[in-house]
Amino acid sequence: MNIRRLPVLFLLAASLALGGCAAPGHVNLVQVRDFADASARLGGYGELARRYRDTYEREQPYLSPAVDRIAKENDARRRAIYDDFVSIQKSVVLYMQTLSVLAGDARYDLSDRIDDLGNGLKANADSGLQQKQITAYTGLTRLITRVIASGYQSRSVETMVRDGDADVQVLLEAMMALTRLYAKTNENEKKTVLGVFDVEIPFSPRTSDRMLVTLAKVHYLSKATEYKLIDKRYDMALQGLAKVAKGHQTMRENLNNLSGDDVRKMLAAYGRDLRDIRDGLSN
Amino acid sequence: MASPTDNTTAPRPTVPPAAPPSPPPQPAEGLASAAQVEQLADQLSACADNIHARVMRDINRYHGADVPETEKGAARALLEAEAELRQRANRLYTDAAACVVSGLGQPQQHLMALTADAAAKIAHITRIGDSITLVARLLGLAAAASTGQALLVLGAIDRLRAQLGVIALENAPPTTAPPSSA
Repeated sequence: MNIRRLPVLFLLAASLALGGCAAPGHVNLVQVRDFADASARLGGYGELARRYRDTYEREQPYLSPAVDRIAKENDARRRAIYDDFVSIQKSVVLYMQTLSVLAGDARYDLSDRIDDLGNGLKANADSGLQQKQITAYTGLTRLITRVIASGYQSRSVETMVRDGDADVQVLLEAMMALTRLYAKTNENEKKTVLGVFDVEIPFSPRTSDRMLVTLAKVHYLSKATEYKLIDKRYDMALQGLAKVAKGHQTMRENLNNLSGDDVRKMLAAYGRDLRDIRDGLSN
Repeated sequence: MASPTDNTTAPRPTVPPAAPPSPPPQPAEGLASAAQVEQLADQLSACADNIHARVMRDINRYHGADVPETEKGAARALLEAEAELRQRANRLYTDAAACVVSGLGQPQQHLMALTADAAAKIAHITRIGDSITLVARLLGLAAAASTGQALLVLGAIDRLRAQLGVIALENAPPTTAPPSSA
């Protein structure tokens, strides 16, 4: 009966597989993954970039012919550089998605491969192996695999954070600067649109069509409300981007300690905040 | 306010004679950076705000009574000047945005390269999983061999051969550039 040689054989094989990458202790990258995931799905910036691109469509009805000419040129310019705005966002999103996968997505769960091992043994149950030994075997292999996978994962996450931080920060800063420019453009749009009513409503002589004046007032109120809601979104988008930047900086500053309790707590808080902002933006 | 050294092509903002005094001229070199372009746009926007406030002050003097036609004419002209200023300001905001993105080629490229590397790493990790499977198959073979049961051994050998084939395929030198996940 060779059962006694099996554990030795396995340890030999396992040490080959482990190579030099065993990591001490238990590495927990759940918060890293959640933070990266929340960062990738933040939203806000893309919608506001589109809104910026489409400014002319919204303001055109309120423009005099002379001003309309200038506005058309602006429209062409905005559309020309819009694609670059989107590219920046795409690269940051892709980076965060990759970080999320590296930090422990389901595809790293190798236990189905481990079940193979179990099957290999179970298939020989009539060789006299007991269930207890099979279970222990499977448990051990799962543990070893977790260590292998975690050790490798945590090294990849660290490398990526270390190598990507400078560029991520530059791009996030750019996205924040652009969002502020979108907000200022929106501010001018709002004042152009509402300004027409500020002046023309008082100018309607008392003998004029009451229906028309009423319609104008209603329209004014509806536009004013619309802009108020939009204003909030710029703020939220900016807050979100700032949190992504700070979270990544936190990881960069704690590369050797990504599983530490305080680091995980900080990342969990950032992840929560990002999800709150995303929920706020999707209303 | 535009100079040969700045990278914007914004025309000089025009202000009609009836408007309040225009902002003091910017130094020519002040437009070099996105931040300064943005600052000028901010000033133009603030000027437009002032014009609007002035117009509203004049209108509100009438407290809802009919406004004489000449006053209306003046107010509408000012409103149009305000709208034009806002368009000029928005043009400058777009110029500032273009400045922001034009400096970004390198960080973006570097990030894309990094992401592609990471994708390759992820693929590699999948192969380590294959090593585990290989170990499992070896052990399956060992276990089967210990039973002396021919069928089981043959089955285990087949699975092992299949696993080795998979690994060989994945380790084959690529004939094209490695795929990126982008």
